Amino acid sequence: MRILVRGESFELLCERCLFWPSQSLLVVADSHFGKAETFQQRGLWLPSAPIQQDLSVLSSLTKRLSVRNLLFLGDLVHSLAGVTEDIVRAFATWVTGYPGRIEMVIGNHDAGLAKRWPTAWNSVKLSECVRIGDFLFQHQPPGELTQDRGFHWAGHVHPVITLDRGPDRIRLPAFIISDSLGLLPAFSRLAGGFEVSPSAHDRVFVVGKQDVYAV
Amino acid sequence: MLHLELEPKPDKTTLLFTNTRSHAERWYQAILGAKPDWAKTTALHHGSLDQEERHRVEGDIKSGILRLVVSTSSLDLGVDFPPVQDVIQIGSAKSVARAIQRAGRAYHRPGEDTRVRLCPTNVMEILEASAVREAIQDGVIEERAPRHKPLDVLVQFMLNSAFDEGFDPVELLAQVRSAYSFRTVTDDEFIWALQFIRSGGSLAAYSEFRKVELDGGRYRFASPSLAREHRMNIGTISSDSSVVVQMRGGKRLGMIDEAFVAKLRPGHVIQFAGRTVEFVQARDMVAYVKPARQRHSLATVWTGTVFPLSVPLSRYLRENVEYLLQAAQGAAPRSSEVASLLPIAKIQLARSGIPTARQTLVEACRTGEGHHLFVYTWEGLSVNEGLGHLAAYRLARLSPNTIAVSATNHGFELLASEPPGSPEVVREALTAVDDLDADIQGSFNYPELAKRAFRDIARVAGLIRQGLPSAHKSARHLHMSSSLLFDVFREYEPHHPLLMQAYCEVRELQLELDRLRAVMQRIADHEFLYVPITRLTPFAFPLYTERIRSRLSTEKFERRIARLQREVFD
Repeated sequence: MRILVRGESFELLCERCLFWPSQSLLVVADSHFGKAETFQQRGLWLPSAPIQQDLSVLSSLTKRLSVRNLLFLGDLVHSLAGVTEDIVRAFATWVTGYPGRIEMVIGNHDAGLAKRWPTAWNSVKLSECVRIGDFLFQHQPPGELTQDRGFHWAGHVHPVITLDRGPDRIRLPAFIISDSLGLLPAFSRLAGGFEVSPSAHDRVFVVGKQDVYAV
Repeated sequence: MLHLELEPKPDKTTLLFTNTRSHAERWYQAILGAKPDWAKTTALHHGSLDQEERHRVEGDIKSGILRLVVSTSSLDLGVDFPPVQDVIQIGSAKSVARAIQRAGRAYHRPGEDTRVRLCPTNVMEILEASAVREAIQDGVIEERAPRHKPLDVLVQFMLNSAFDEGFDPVELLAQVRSAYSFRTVTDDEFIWALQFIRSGGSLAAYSEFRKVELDGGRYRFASPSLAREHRMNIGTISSDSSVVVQMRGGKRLGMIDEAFVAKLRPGHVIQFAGRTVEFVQARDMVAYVKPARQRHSLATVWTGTVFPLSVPLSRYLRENVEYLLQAAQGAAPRSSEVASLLPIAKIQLARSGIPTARQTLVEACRTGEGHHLFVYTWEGLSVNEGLGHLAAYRLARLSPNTIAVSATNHGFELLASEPPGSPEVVREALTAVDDLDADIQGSFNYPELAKRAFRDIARVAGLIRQGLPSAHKSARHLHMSSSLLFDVFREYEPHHPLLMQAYCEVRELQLELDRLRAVMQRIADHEFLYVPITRLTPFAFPLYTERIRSRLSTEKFERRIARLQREVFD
């Protein structure tokens, strides 16, 4: 699904990522790697969805779209404890094999990890916020008082929308686009969601299995 | 409007039972609205009030301070209260056992009778009162069917045994099998549960799992913190995710459903714990309120179970319907309830018909809203919902149609946009038992029902944590909704035994498929009384109001009902 934001063309992908063709930039928010492992260590049952599965989605996307720049929009991992050796190794292998540039803005769940960043992941560039032209990329949406007139892309919220069609109630991850803010759905399928109530001027797009749909 | 003799007598306490917490709140408010000077001697008691308040009320009943207590099942069981002498039940108790239990709250000496006064809230409940009395006279009471080895309870029991020195699996299995519900637990099932708490499940999917470990032949918690966390989650009574209600800067009033709080906006006024309070804000699982000035308020709603009519009571009720027919045809009324319903029975008979216990009545009519079918089974809410959705699904499959279903304990209404078909077609839709399972799956949003059943299972088995008010912030990254967990399991472990349990509970407990099948068989054996009607009948009235209740705001609803009441009963 292609949309225009401040004159620029963006693509909303059903893999729950955002693509900016003119910058060859793929944005991935809230991948929460190691969430199942974090739960398991605390005696909670959550089956691991292998990180390889998520990484192979990214591989095919970056190839298909010839992505030169990859940006993780925070909450790359769920917790420091959940970053097991297997996860460090798997992500390191993927990073090494990826020919483009990888950047990451630090999310609230990454705080512990940022201090003990695995050396095998050193080619990932860390920052608090990324600015490209009129567009700002950061993990959390800015507060209402922000003076910045640029357009913010953010994750953190994991927005979902419930479509109510009589007996068929279905809850889907969503992109929510307002005048100055675009919220990305969580990339992780284990992330859960926060039911948002968009205002009348927001553009809302829900993510289905095959495509993204305007609501 | 109801007129109830409620003048409390000195040295005597009256218990007024309602079936839901919402009703208890409303009756309490209404009574104090009419009799403000009773405030000091009247109290409210239900399971969502703060424990301290409940204990205070219980103490005041014992010491004889209170004249009137409005209550739900929260006072059904437990200690006898000597000064209680009068019991009033609002609405039907829906089961013989519950009626006896509530009557038993009244003070009595061995060998002496106790009395409970039933205050019906609709016409058919008058007949239910008569059915309850006959059942008691015949010594008929509901059986309590024990649950069949629920695995969530087994898992929790194992974890409860894993504190301190832990348990020996062989000894524990013997203990488990000594419980009636678990007497047939197989070795395989027990070993599955052992693996489940020790390694999470399949090794590949749970490489990091830690809960209990095997040490010297005994299973015990792998760390004190895991044990502590489990301790906070013990118990099998689950309420919907609850939020504490607290006066701003003060007293805790009780608990309220999270889903209800989510609908409140600051400034909304609600009735809670017998007070009228204004919602201020919700923060960290606490809903803050302050005293309200305004009187108009919303009734607090808890999602609870509507008591379904029990199987024996249904049978007696259908017989009483036949007594009503006999009386309307001129026979002497069998009971005072039947006598009091005689004028209504005559209207019913003139406009439609009254079935014998060997007949099934279906009324059909057309209004500006569409084509109505009213079907009477007197078999309880779950059967009526099940049969209603099943029939709607089958009729709409035969010819394109949009059909709305609304059900009560007594029957259901189908409202169709197109003619639903001939009487034979309707009868077939209500009685065909071939492909019943497939049609049930087609007519319900099955995964959605299973998801709801799974919520309780997940909580009991310890898959998700109960809200811990104090540890809230630090535990937030371990929060998981049961609904997401359900989806994850369905994708990665579709045959998980706890998922299977959820589907099984939907079939057996919620849809009561065995009972549904029996009812369909009975309708097939019955004479089918299909009556076109031109005016709404007294039997149809509660079904009709049930549907419009969900659509209109209260005010409009009451005005419309008043008009309908005149049309039906005058």
